[in-house]
Amino acid sequence: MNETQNELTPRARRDGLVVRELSGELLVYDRDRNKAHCLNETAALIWNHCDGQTTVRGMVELLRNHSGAPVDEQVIWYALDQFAKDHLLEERVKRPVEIRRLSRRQLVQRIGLAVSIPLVVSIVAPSVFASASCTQSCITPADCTVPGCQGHCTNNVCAP
Amino acid sequence: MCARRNSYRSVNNHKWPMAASKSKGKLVADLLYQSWRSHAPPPRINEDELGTITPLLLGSGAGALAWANIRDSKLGESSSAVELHQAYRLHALHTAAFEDDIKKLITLLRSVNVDPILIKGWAIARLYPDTALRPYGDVDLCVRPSEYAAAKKACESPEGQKYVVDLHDRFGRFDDLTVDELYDRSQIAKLGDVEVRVPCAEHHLRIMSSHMLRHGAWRPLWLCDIAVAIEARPADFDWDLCLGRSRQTRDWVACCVGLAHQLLGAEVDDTPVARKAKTLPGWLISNVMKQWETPYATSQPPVSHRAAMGSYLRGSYLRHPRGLFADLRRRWPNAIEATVYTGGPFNALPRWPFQIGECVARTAKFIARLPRALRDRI
Repeated sequence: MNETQNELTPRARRDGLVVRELSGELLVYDRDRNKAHCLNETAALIWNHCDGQTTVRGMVELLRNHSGAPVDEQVIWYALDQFAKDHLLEERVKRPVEIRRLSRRQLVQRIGLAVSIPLVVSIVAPSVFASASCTQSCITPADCTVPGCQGHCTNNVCAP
Repeated sequence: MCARRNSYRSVNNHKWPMAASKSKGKLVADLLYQSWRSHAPPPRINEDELGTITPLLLGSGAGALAWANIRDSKLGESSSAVELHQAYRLHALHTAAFEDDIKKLITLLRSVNVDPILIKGWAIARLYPDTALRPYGDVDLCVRPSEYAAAKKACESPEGQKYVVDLHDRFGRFDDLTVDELYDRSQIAKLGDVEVRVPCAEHHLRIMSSHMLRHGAWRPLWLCDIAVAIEARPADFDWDLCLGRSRQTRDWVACCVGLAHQLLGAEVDDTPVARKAKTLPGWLISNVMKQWETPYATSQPPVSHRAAMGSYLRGSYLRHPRGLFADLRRRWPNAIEATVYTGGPFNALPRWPFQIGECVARTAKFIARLPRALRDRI
């Protein structure tokens, strides 16, 4: 095992993120990318400990204590990969060369279901045109004077 | 006055005219029935019906409220529930982001000595059991006319441009409420560590009522807001203040209270408008339910118009008169909006005179706005 890699201390990104905890899930909204993510309990536990102080080895311990079952280091790396992909870390953490990247299926095959797999799922729902105030007809962008819809005329309608 | 009794009965026996097959609007009303309450009654629709209206709920911003209503029922296991749950999650995040924006925006405006009043949006969402149930897309702020220029400048600054603000310094011709009156009775609500000025409960119910009718009541969530405001009103709620001085305002508020009662089951028995609330004209209820069948901004005028009327006067459009006629049909006003626009009473009389009146007034306004040369050509 690569001792150096396991002493890495990942740091979660905080700037530009809105975080809300809802019934066992952690919801994260990336304001910069306008993307929302839902972290299950295991992913939330790992992400919450990406504080720049807890090592990968420490996370394995934390998760083991939390679940009461043996935890494979792969679980942590799987979560960190997802965080990195979704821009939820300050900087990508380089995985040890001997720890190969596993798919979710491979991870389940390897560790079984003793610990729930950390999942980061994108939240997709239709956007709501919540403001009725923007419904102003226009011919040119200059016609759009309602604050929040100014200067945007699409198909003869002001848009935010 | 709204005198005619019709086949719509009070919520106690809750019978509806379309017993055989429920319209989509009726299904939306049934699902949202008392859904704002912490302990809402079990949903009154089945899984297939939920599937039918899920796009309407999601598209109109009522997805989270619907989710809260079904999550503990059998419907909570349905495939529609997955989508509604996603909406709830997304609204929860957007709400948290917007709350942060509101705090920053109000702090920004106070730094230029403007103390705005927040209307609708968070000001009403805070009355729901969970603010995530009530999404909002912009920040409606009311400021004194003397402070408007400073507020506008702050909102247009690089810092202010980060927020979607709808700034008001008056209520237009549809309400006789003045901004000074609004300030005199306004209250402070805490949003985290920031104090936010909000309208008193009486003024807020009145503002929301006129706003909903002015926009033709197409969004179910607006009526939920009114229902929440009615049921969360303080013990010393002053109905005279809420109903206002004019007959018209009283009529509007009473009709909205009545709609909240008849469609969503809001408790109104102990209000002075209870009698009217239970005897609304049939056209009003059916019109709102019809609107709820397409509760999207894109289905509402002017977004639903194919092109601005002025553009039909240009050469290329004149070659396509069918498009013009189709668009004229789309401009036939909704009965609610026409009644509001013409200042008519919400009674049992037919609506077409008000709709024609609204068309005539709008056409006159359109012609008056045309350049003189074009007017002469017409």
